[in-house]
Amino acid sequence: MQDGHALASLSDEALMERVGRQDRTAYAALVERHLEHMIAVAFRMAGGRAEAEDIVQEAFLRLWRSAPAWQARNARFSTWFHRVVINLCIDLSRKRKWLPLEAAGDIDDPAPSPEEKAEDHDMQSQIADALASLPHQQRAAVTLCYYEGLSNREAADVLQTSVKAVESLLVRARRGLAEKLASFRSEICETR
Amino acid sequence: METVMLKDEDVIRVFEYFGADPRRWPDDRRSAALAHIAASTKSFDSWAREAARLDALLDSNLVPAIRPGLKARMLALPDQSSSTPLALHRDSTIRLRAALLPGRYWQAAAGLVVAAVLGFMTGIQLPQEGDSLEALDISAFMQGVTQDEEELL
Repeated sequence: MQDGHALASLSDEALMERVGRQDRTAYAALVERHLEHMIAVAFRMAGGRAEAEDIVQEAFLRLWRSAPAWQARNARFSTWFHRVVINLCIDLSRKRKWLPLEAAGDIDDPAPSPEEKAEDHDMQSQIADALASLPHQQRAAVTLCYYEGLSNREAADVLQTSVKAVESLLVRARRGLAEKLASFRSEICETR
Repeated sequence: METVMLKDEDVIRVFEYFGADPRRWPDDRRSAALAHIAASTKSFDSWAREAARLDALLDSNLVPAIRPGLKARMLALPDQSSSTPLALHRDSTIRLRAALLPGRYWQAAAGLVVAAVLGFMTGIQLPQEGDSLEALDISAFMQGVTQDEEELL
């Protein structure tokens, strides 16, 4: 087993190979390296902090469990792991549409205060709503390319599609967002 | 890198697809687009402004800071996980299932086994041929009253 400094210089793929041999230090290095990014991806895809945390937890669990078989696959670690997180987000949002009310469980946050209710109308929540209203693939394209800075090629690999298709998803997403946020902007102008 | 020649509409598309910040433009089009904007007599200001407005809105959608304890929760996952890695466990289950029964027939077979067990359990609780009818008090049972209730009547 190596210390954290030595592991920090290893590639994701090399770390994953060690995780496949049940090396917890290598696993910890991958958590250290990817947790924040994956939370950001899941948050923008799922739209909530609690959901994002659960999704990333499931993704890391899958990482640990499937590491022994992973080395045979012909994919970069980051591509594979982004794909796991994106697919979990899409699965969750599909299931959420059909969940009975009882399955929703307890609400994570307490009732909003009047100030918080007023803040619900702020720009951030409007943008989150606009993002959430996009079809899954468009949302994933914006999350990966715009927010995460992946190249179009990398995003295409994650989404298992072509670069051209990613560009098409991006432009449709941006047009959709511009449309939704334009009405929000005019609402704001009218109230001021 | 090969120099790409862009037209006005290609540059407009770059703004539309990727926003106003050239750092977000694809590597294969960034220099060509900037060169075209610099050399062109056409103004791309309105496209750049519109794209920048949307970028600013998107940038204001911030991700909340990671909660303390979340990293520890992730680091503890291997302890909660089964000692058998999922891939190995799943592969061996699939192999076993495939060896025993082809395709999806295992579900039907499992249903038949459950039905057989339930049938057997029901069978051993039913009266046998030698059982006394008096003991079972069938007539009272059929009329909805017990022997004690019959005496009271």
